[in-house]
Amino acid sequence: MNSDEEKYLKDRAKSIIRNYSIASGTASGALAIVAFLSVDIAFSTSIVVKMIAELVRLFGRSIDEVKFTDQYKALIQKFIVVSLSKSLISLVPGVGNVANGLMTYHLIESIGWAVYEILRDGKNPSELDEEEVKVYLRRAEKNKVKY
Amino acid sequence: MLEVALSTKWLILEIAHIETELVQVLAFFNIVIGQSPSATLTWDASVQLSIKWLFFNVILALLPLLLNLILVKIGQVSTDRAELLKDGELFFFSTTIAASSVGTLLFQSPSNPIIASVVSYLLMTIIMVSTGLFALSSFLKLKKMDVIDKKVFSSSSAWCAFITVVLSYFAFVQGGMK
Repeated sequence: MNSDEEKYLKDRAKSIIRNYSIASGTASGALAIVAFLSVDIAFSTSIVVKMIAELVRLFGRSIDEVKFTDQYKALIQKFIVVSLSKSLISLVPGVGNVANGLMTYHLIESIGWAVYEILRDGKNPSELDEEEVKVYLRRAEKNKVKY
Repeated sequence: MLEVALSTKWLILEIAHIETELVQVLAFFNIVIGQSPSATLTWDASVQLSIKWLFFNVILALLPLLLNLILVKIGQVSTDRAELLKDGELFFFSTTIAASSVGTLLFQSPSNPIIASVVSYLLMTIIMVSTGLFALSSFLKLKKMDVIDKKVFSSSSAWCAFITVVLSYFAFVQGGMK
């Protein structure tokens, strides 16, 4: 992959990840008060699924390759764990809405960049084990500032 | 023209029918929330004020959507309810009604402060939820992102509007029906 192509992919990925992170953050912020019922997770999960599908298509791959495997669920699992930890603050109107929205925004952004890095390395998210997915997520959390 | 006249007549008859049923429902709510009409107002006065509130705060505020519904019927547009409400218009409606009701509770001395506090909290929650979801809907429309199922979105907005109207009526009664 030459540098122009890489730059194009990075820019497109940035735009996709930002849009979906904003959408998910807004949904979670709005639904903060009912976060303990996992309503925000239902909305955000649907957004994450679409984001991953769009990133996979960006790399010229078929979404059928990724599908809903255990590895894919590991990505979502981390998302749910963080969602549960923010449930208490969500009950405070105003502050909870902003906190819930920001946390979800950063989380979805990390998931997006983790998927980007997996695809950039020529790997298939379906073929990675849970540990590898976690490594990619941790790396994406550090690297996303550079992107 | 005949179709317009028939649709309008149908709408007026529907509203009149709904109003008759609501008189009984509203009177029931008055009893449930402990605001007996005999305490401050006569039964008839309380029902009349409730109908006025419903007409000016809910039905008139929903006119744009009702007109849209009439046009869809007249124009024989093949669409479903989800398509009509997918842009979150009812979230916008909910925010305005809820905001006005919170104002009523804050600036009128409520008959039961505990119920008033709970209703205020719930209305504030509705303001946040409906504002956020309306903003989300506009963002998704501008970005042409088809992320959330329109049926989920439209039914959430309809439920949100219904709950807001009920809570706002509670706020209206708590504020002494002024």
